[in-house]
Amino acid sequence: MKGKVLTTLLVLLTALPVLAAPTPAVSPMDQVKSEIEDALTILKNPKLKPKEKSQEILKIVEKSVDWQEVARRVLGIRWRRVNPQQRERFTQLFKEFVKANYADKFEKYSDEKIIYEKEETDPPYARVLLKIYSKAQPKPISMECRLINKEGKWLVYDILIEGVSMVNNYRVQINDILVNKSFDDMLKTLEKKIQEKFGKES
Amino acid sequence: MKSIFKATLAVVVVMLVWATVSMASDPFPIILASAEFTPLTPKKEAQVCPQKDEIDTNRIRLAQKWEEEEKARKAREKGKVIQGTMPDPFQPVNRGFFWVNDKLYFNALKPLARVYGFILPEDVRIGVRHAILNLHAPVRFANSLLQFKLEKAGIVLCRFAINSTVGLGGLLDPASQMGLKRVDEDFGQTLGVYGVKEVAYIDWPILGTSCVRDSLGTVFDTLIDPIYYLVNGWVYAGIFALDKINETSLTLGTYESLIESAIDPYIAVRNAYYQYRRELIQK
Repeated sequence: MKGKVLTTLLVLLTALPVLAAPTPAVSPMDQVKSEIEDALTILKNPKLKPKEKSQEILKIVEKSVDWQEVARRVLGIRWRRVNPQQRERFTQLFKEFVKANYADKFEKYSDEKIIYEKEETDPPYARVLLKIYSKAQPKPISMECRLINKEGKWLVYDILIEGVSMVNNYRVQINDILVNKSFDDMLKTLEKKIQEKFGKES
Repeated sequence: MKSIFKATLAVVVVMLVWATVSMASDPFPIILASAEFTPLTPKKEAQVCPQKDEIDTNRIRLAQKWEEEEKARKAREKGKVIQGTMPDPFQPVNRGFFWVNDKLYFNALKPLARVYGFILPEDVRIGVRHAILNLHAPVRFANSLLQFKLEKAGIVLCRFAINSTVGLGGLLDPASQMGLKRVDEDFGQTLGVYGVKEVAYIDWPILGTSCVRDSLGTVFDTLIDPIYYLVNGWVYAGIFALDKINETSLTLGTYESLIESAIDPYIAVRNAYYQYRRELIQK
């Protein structure tokens, strides 16, 4: 009797991680690859104006990133200490901030070669390693996309270039502001930054 | 016999539970460590508190105590340096030099690099980069040895031999095409491998971002560099300047995008340096 109970327990326990995290049909690498390739076709399209190109690419960026996860990680321990409205506001502002930052960066692309090196999956997380070969760089730039599985889709929550995590970089900056300033003041600083960017563009 | 079987089963179950728990936890603990911070002290107290204490007042008192502790912890953490960052006791001075370096970059280095890049074609500049890199090969060889990375030391040696001869004194890089990839080692990294921390961030005027450990490393690397003893001090400084202008001309825009996408450029640069060095040391 006891043996039976134990065996059932054993079976259940081995099955638990599998039950908890169903792996999506698309592999993380294929997902990243298709998104990057979509972006590249837009960039190489001669019919589109630079502004249209960046708008189209930002659309891809917007839907391939888990913005709430990004915001949560950027705030770090402070995510739990602010109320849901503040979280929501920060998530929205940070998304706008990132989009404003990278809107004009896509034009610099000049036929770099991208090699999709490998993927590592550890449900619900995954990472995809890329190498970007460009002539002017002393060595290929290594890039790592970190993804999280949300409802069957892999969403990016951090990008590391040469080991430098963007989420970590922004977290240190924001935490530094929060040492002396209130959360709402920090939100205002972000708002000001976004306005500056848009002011420069137009 | 049966008892042994039961004991083994029990061990297996415990191991499985542990495995499940560890699998469910974050694979990238550094990032989540701060995101998922849970106060540990209240949990410990809960274990100490026995079940016989079922009187509500007791529980309320305990809850109040937790709340107080939580408040104290928050107060302690306010103003505390955030984990995963470099100590920066010289921040006011560093910020001053950061401002100076930023001005120097935009008003001197960048225009100079533009003119330089206009005169020399990209291929020539890449050649200059390879040649300067090749000159300092002994430093990378020594540091690979000091870290007991014998394979890397071998690669440096082979690269030096091939590029100095077939590669026309280092101007070309045929070794890379043979699969001998560039090795990046310096004494700052060597110290890092042996557990020496950054100590403090330093933004040197002209020389740029560094820290106490890596500054010591640079001094050491200069002292073991044969070129330092072979040429005049001014020539050595000239090689440094040429390298700086050459690199800037090849990587125009990199510094700009980091600055532009930052909320606080100083912190962004400091943190990028910290993360980049940590990554290099791990390799």
